[in-house]
Amino acid sequence: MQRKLSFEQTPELSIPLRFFLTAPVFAVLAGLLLVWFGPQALAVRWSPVTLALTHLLTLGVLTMSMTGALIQLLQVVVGIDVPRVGLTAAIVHGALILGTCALTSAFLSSAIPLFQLALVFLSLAFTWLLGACLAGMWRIKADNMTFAVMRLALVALCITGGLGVLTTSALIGALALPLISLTNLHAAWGLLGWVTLLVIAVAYQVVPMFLVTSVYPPRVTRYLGASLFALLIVWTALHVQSTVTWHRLSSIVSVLVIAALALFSVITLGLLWKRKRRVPDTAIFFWYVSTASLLACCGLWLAGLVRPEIADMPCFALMPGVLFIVGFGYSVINGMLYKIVPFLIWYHLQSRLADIGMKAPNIRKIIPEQAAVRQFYVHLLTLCAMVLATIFPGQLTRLAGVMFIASSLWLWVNLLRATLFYRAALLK
Amino acid sequence: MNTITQYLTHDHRRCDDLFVDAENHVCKDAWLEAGTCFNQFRTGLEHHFAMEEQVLFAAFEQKTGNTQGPTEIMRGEHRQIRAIIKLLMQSLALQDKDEYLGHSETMNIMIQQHNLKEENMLYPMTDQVLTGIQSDIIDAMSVIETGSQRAMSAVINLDVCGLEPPEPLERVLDALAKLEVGDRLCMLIDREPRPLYPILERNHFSYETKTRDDCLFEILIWHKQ
Repeated sequence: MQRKLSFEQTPELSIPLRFFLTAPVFAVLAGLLLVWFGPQALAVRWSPVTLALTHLLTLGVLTMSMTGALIQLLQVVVGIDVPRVGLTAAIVHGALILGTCALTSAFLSSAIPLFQLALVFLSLAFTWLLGACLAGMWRIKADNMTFAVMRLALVALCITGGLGVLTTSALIGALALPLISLTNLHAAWGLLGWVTLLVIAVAYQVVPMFLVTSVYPPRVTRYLGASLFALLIVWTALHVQSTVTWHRLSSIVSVLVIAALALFSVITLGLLWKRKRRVPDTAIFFWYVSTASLLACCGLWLAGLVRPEIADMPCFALMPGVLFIVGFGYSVINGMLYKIVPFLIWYHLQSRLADIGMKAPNIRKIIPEQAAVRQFYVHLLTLCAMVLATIFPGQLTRLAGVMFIASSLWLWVNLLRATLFYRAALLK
Repeated sequence: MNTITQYLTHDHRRCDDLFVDAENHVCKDAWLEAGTCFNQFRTGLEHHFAMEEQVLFAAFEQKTGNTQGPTEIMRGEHRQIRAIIKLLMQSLALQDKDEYLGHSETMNIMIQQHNLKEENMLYPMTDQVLTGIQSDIIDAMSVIETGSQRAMSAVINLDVCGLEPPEPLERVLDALAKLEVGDRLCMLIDREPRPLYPILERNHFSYETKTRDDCLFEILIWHKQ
């Protein structure tokens, strides 16, 4: 059966844009949290403030933008119709916002009804998203590796959500389950499954094409995503056993996971380094920071496995998380927004303007390179401050928070100005 | 090369490389080389569009009976890409680096997302619909290649006899910047232009020098294949 083609159904501009414009707002909220609560936000992994901060970032920033990109990419790149795309976007976007807010306030207030409310909204958001995407995705033969890995990422999101429900139920005492074990699994599937797999899937297409590098080696594209997914399953199975022997085995699996992530980082860095295009491009800087952070995170994790005294250091609780979520995840998203948003705006603008015989301005006028480069440097400094703040939470947490607000606000302003540019160009 | 997808995907990469070469030269303010690469890119791109629009899309539309579907949308994007080509040519002529880089950024993303749609969706569809006659289609497309190049091939004459240096060199470099792939430049000069030869070598031109009976030199120059 021939797959249905949906070239003409490039989703309306507002559909992806609403996700992209919301993400930096949650980042600003995360920064406010850092400033407001200060050192306790970055001191221990289990403090309610840290958990609230983590979920503002993972749900509000990472998942928010990844969902917008996913809806756009599925339709344009893979040719899948997301059914009722307008309604899907509205419901997923709305439920994700409400769910993230509810969960954050639930952590901060420990109010059980808020946890329940968060569960309702987040379950709605993810069930709807998965239903809308997976239904179309399962009918297609996975000959394209981006697509195959994207599908695994969505399955990982499904597992993360399920584990999230169990963790929350254990937390509020509705179910008697081992809380720490569940939390570890939930975090592993969310970060190493959903976030990493989606970044890998998108990188296979986006890095060679938009950043103009060579393609990833076919052996890597073929096996890396599936291997990582399989390792996560084995690791989960071992984790559930939790005896001494199983623990040793699970360390071996961890080393393999680290190796897979490091392989991806090293290959990506190599491709970027040898890229053919010589034009300065802010997105490249973000990709460098992102992959370097992932590599640093791998190094840290490995050091902790080999030398337990490193893992016992207080900063070890949060430094890998900061490197992973802010360094790896947020950087790559920030960089890609500078590629995706101007293009979407240009694309819609030129088709609207062509009707009245006018030409759209070039992409670099939509978000000036200067503004993007400066925001990049602020982002880089912010990342350094946040990493250092995990070592010296007392001195640096508030400063890192202020910088994080500045960087995210700047990103938001750059994106918002691009949107206003679109309006102004149409009104002219 | 046994599928349409492989054949045309390979041609995409060839055009991409030429495009990046032109852009890299603009970055270095090497306008002459940029012009040469850009012309190769433009010729390559037009040739690619011709293969699609005249052979592949036509065959696909005939087989499916659908002329308003994906092929029509791809034709629309070809028009958009041609519009950006014009803007790029203008900034190239004015040697306006910022304008060129702005339009080339637009061009890069426009082309890459267009390639993505074709390589992931349209080409596999054509391979499916045109199963069995793929090699005929590829042959027909490769014929367009030689056919269009022969049709476009022209000799441009440039007479620089009697001009004082460095004017002959400047004139010929200007002419080369505009020389299309497949075309040839025939330069007439009253002394052998030895300094020109290494420049031609560096910029991937082939040349032949003839001494005429009237002691003038005739140099035939064309892009290396």
